[in-house]
Amino acid sequence: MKIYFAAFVCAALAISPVDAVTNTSQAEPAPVISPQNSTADHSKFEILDDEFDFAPDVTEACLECHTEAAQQIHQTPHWRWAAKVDGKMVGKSQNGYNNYCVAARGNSSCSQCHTGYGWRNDDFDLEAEENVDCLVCHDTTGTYKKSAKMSGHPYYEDTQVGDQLIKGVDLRKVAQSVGLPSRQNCLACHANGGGGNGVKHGDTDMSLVDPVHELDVHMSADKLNFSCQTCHSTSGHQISGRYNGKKAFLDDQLDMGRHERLGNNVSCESCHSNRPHDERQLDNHTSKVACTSCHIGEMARGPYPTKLSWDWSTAGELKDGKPFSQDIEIDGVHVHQYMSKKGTFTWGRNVVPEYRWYKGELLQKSLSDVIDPNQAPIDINPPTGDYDDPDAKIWPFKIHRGKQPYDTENNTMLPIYLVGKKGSGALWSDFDWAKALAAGAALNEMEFSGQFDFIESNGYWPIKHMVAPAEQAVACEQCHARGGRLESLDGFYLLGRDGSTWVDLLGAVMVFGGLAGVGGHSAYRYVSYRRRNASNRKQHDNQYDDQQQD
Amino acid sequence: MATTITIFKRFERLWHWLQALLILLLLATGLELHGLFSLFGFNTAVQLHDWAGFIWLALLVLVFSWIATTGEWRQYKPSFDGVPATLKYYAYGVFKGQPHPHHMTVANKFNPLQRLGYIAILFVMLPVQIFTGLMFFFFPELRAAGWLQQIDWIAIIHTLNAYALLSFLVIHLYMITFGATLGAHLKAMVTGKEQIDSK
Repeated sequence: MKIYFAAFVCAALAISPVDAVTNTSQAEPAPVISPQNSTADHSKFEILDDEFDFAPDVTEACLECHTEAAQQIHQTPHWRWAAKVDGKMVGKSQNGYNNYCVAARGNSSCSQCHTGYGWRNDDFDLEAEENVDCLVCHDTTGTYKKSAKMSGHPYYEDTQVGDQLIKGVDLRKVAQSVGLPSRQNCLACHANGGGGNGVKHGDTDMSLVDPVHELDVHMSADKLNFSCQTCHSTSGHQISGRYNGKKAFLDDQLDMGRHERLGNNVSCESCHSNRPHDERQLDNHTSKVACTSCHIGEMARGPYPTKLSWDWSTAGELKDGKPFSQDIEIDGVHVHQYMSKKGTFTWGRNVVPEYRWYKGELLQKSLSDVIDPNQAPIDINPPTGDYDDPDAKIWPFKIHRGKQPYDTENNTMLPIYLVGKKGSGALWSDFDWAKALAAGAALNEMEFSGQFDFIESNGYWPIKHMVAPAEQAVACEQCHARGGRLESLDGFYLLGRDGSTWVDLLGAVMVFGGLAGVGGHSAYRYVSYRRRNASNRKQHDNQYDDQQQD
Repeated sequence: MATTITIFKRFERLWHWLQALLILLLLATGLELHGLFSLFGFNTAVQLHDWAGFIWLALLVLVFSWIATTGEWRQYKPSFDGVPATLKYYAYGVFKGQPHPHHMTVANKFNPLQRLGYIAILFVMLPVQIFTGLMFFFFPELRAAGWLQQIDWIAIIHTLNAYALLSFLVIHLYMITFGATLGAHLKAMVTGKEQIDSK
């Protein structure tokens, strides 16, 4: 029992959101979005007035009235963790990978963030209605927390996770207080994915719970106070936003197909139009430059840094046979710099994004794709498009640099078996790469030759949140300059950056040649003038002398 | 005998000085936009460059109308007559204190080199600059209409021509010192009046 508990704490510690970023100041919770004019008070429902000791029982109670809800959820990426792209399912539940913990499949703790209960392995029933977790999104009490160890079940009993004591959940109270999802509900997973606050997105972290105006003009309570759903509009549990096979934006016209957009996609232009500046030169940018490129000049502008790189190749170093971690402090926030379990990280605040052409879709590679190690860094989910593509715009990206294991014989990326008991081969228990990779490959039904090395990789994160106030927009010179933000984008002429070296050389020859010619000519003109004057005077003097002699 | 004639009419002087102002502003802002230095700031430089360009276009419409309707076009009839003598003067005669071989009159105000130079500038370089500038300005519309997909060649011609105009300006500022006195031509462009030898 004791051993089980210790293992549980260790595992929870390794996965839980608090492991990577220790908040020095807890953000004040923003007002809960709960319509005052709702026609239903869930605390008056008899079916919810029950001593629930198992979360799926709450789901069954919900489904008594909300008969279609589970079916709706079953259709969403929140549930499937995959979607069809060109006839093939792509996503983290199947074959997708990244350069964080690489693969979710085979790592039962990853499903802490799944909107379901108990996705431990491939036996999980994706069609079972009672497996849907209604409360993770609809809890308004802030007391409902999902456990990594229990693959997404809430903490049923008081549990010590790291230095935090998480209280056992009161399911009756949570069920009776359900409401519309608030920022906390969404951010619990979307800000903490990848192992902690700010790890994945460069523009989505816990500071968005209550951002100041400078950080996010839309979500700041000072003015607009948008909820997540103001933009990510919903319809039948379908939430607008990008996913595999689903573009981030379908159009750039004002109000075009607005009704159809509900639950489907979201764009700045749908509210702002694509000519919002009242200034021709600025408005002309919108056909090729995304709003976000200028209006989100830096990422991670809140108190929390975002993770910029993750080098797995250094993982496994032990002190006295035990794993350890080393922190650094970035502007008052402590983050991991090295962990025996994970390797080496770098972080940054106020990070200037990188710019790429983007059509609202990312080309998610899968674990079965063969890579060419000579092409490193490997682009895991690159955006597509170029200047000539009318659908593509220049977008800001956080490009997360990874160094992760791959099979040097088969040339495939390798998933890692991370969490398991000692002797199971799990990396975080046994610290044996060969075993952890063999187990990871087996759990993902992949071949593993036994030969492996580490390879650099790029993970792409389109930046679209944390829109700054207009006066903090990126200045012209940031891009219209040599060595500016757009230095690496080619295929078009950019004023201030581009030019013909030959023309500039020719220009220099013309202008400085002209100056030299003028200088030489005028100098000789002056010298010859002086000389002429002198000889004239001499002549004059001679004449005078002659006259005197006469 | 020296007499005083009015060589530059009032409109001509206005044209010259307004154009001088515009070209200086266009060169300064244009070279800044090309990334050679920082002066006004990119945004301001763009605005100034656009305004100056369109004012210049309007001025040139007036100028060409004036040249066409006043008979001034006769000053711009291409000819190589006297070019060798003029070249010889600048390369040799001027150092020997010889007089300029060209005799300025109201009907023939340009020397043979000036005539060729101003034909090139007024009828080739300025229209090319205005035309490429307009293409640059209306590039978004031209691209939307499918007429022009890339601006690179337009931009490169515009830049090369600007360098050529700047080079002209350097030489021009020197050549105006070849009057009866160093400042005589400059004075003429202000007052319109030039002293010439009447024979």
